[in-house]
Amino acid sequence: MKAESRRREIPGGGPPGTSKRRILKDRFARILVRLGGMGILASLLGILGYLCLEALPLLSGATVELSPSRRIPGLGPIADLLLGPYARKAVVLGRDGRIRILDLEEGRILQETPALRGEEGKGRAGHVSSGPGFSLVLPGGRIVLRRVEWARRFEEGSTKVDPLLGEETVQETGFERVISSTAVFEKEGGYAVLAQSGTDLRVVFLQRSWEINPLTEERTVRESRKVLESTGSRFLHLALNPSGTHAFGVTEDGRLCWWDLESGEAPRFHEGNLKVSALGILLGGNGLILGGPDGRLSEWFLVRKAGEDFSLLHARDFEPVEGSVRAIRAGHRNRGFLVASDTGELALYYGTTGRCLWRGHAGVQRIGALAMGPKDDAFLAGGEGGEIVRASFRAEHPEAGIGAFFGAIRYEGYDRPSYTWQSTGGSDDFEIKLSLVPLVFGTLKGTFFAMLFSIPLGILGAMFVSQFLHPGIRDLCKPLIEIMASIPSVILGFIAAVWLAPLVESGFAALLAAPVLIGILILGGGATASLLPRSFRRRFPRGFEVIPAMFLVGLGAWFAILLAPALEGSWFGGDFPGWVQETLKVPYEQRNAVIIALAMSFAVIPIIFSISEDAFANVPRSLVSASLALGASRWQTVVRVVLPTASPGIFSAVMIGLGRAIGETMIVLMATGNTPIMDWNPFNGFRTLSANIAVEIPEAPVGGTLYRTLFLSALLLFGLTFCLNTAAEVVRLRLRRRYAEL
Amino acid sequence: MQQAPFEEPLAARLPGSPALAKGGGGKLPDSGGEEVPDKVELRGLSLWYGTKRALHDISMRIPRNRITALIGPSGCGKSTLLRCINRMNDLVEDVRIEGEVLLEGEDIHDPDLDVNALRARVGMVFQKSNPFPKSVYENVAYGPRIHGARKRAVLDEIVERSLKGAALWEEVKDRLHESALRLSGGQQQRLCIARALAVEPEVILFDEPCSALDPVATGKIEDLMRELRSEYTMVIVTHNMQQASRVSDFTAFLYMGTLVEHSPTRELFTRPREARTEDYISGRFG
Ligand SMILES: Nc1ncnc2c1ncn2[C@@H]1O[C@H](COP(=O)(O)OP(=O)(O)OP(=O)(O)O)[C@@H](O)[C@H]1O
Ligand SMILES: [Mg+2]
Repeated sequence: MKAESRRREIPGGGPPGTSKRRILKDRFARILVRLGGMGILASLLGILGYLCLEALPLLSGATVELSPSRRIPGLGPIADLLLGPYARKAVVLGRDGRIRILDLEEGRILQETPALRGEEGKGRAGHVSSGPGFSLVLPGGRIVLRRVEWARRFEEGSTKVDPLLGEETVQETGFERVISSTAVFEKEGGYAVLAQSGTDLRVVFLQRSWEINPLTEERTVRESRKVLESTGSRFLHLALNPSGTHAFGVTEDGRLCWWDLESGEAPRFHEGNLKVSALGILLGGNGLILGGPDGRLSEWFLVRKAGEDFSLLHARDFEPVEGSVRAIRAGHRNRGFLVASDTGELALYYGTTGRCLWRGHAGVQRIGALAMGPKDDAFLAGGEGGEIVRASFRAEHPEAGIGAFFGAIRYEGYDRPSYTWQSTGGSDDFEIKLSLVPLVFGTLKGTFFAMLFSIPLGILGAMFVSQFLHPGIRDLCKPLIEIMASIPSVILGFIAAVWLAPLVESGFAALLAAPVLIGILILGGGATASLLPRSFRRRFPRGFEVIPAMFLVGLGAWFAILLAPALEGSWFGGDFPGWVQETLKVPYEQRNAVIIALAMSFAVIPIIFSISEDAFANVPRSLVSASLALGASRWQTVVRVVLPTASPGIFSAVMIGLGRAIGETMIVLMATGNTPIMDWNPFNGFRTLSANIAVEIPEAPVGGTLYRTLFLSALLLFGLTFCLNTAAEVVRLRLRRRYAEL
Repeated sequence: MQQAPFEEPLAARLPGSPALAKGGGGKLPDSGGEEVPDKVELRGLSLWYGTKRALHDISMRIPRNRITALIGPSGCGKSTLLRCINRMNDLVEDVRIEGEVLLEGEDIHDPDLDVNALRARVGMVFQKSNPFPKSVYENVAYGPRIHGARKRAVLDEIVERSLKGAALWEEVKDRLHESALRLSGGQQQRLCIARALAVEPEVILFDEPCSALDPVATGKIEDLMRELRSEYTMVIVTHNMQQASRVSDFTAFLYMGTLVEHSPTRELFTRPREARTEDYISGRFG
């Protein structure tokens, strides 16, 4: 039916056979074209979808599976808790001074032992700031320390985990009575204790570490004892940072006090009306989390500015919890922490980004202790009535988030919020910094400097070649410049990094002088030529001027090279990088934005040149004739008629060049130094989104935060070029509509 | 459409005027009998495009304030000849010209002559209308701006005068700042004439100005040329014999690059001296 009706549409169509074949061919071609178009669209959307899919999990919070609270028979009020791998077993220090090993799955006590044999039921739990272990205060100013480790064994096809209680260590404080204490267990086996005397309120800092000589297996013990300057206040809570450099205390009236243990200075109270009811120290020991009786949570850093003492710096606030904060427990692997309030609310936060990952209710109001699983995949809350609340959770990308990627963040040790990219560090407790802003900045900086060179050179070159050059030379010129585009960018990058960068460093004066000298020579040459009698000039064919001009360019460059040492000496004191650093007060890197501008120009200029040359060549001759016939000079014609008419094409040339510059990877990878800094200084390096992907993807574990962040930056790159191209297309279409009737 | 001022001098033309094609003398007897001074004179003009010779030793005189028509079969060199008068042939590669073209007695190929100034004196209207992709106003103001006019009031005045001169003012005065490309074909062609007038040339060259227009638009342009006759010297290339006879005072017939006949229009069309002219105007070839 369809074929018939279509056949009728063809007026006077040939014999039925040919017409049918034509229709078939026509249909086939149409399907093919449609398939091609759809295919491109589909693959584009596919890429976009894939990028989104990989990046999307970054924005999810934590999923927590909270099991209802349960009472375990025989378990009394809980003073401290430790959670083992897989959240199967836990070790509890009771208020009664006994340590119990729990099987959380079966909900029973597996084993029970006093913290210190022979002294059962006498102790009071101390606070453990970090490390795997318990501390218990005994009468007579003694503190028992017990380390807890986890042993795995493989049995009946599954991994079993058992807690190993370390030997009992009794530390004498020298006080008659200890009213509050805290302990830190070091990985290597040492510990540090902070304790306050109940008689005179003095605070003592005790440190003990072991060193085992690997040859003799001799154990040397190093001990230190430091009585801190008295404050006269009673501390409810004490805390120590893991490196033992700072101590913190919370007084009865909720004031925060801290000591710099290394300098031995007087304790300092935090000014202002901050009220503290609980405190915790994040992984790495730099972030102090304070919880208030009003549920407010904030993070503080100890920062030492050059030449000054340490000061406590307010880093950020978190979403407050309901009720008063009772306990804070930091994660073992990242800057996450768990908070419990006296309303029974539990909440998970992430320090660096200030995000609240999850909030929920324990069902138990008086939570006395919190524990995090060693892999940060489970937590445990212990009630004062002996209840246990277990939860397993997944927070795969807690360090991610819109704020982390695009906001200014006050990182540990930074005295002001900054945009920083630093995905890996030397230690396990390194704070990952995932700001994409410096990368976007780097991309824009590289593009900006490259375009600064490429746009004028590309457009003016195209203008000269298409409008002023002799056609014979023009036909030679265009393919030559287009060959430039076919140089692989890895070669450009290599040459830029290895040859150009040192050359520019030593010969920057020549680079500056060359355009000036060449300009002077060409202008002088032009002026001289215009003084020659017309009759003489007419002997040369039109477009001949390019030959002397090229000679002058060469001459200018040669002069520049000859003059360079003298200029370098008089302008820059013979040492350009040094001059930049001293006079301009900015750092000089050998691989910098100027190098990129030069190298990337090689990739971008051919694109801009070739497309704008076409745009110039497509300006109707009739318009040029019309202008010339009105008595306009060639230059006037080019500027007032050709340039505006070719502007849509030139605009797309610039946009396509821009797209190329933004996406360029190899050149920036090889010749920028890849330092993710934000600084417009042209003598600095930078790191672009694209180079960053190339640099980091081999290091990024599949599915990890870094991996997904790289996908996000790819998405951003995609979005950047997409927006740019769309904007370009809209502008171009509008411009073209103006000239459409030509 | 014929108008009396044209009809009369043509009707009263002198019979047997001397062969205009062969130069010499500074004055040309008008069809009205008075001596008309030359505006442009071609002396032994030959032109080669590469090795191909397009014009053969052409000598003719173009009288001041008169309309001269160039007719001839396609490819005979009419446009080439026209372009010689404002040196638009310079734009063509590989062109060689011999002979002289005198404008007011000055050789336009003089190496010390500024070709842009020459083109300001000798305007041109092309076969296909070619307004710039700018507004109507900017199109007309283009020439004056090129030659240094800056003041808005001056430009306004020139634009209005030129558009009135090209009989376009009434039609476009409310849309001066709209794109010229939205005008009709005839309006665009008149805009091109206005653009040429704005530079205040002495000579205007028309290369088949009406070939793309309908009879009404053609009529308007012809009327316009008649009105401009008192102030400008005009040369028009046309394929339309009626048009040549309607508007021109003198007609030159070119054939294969040679000037066959150049006489007052009425004479050429009623009593051609050359057999080839007669064949051509009676439609036997071309
Ligand atoms: N740019 C050029 N290069 C080479 N030959 C040319 C060029 N322009 C014109 N010619 C040739 O010169 C001769 C005269 O051309 P011209 O355009 O003057 O003819 P014409 O009389 O205007 O024809 P028409 O009535 O078709 O416009 C033709 O043979 C043409 O092929
Ligand atoms: Mg022609």
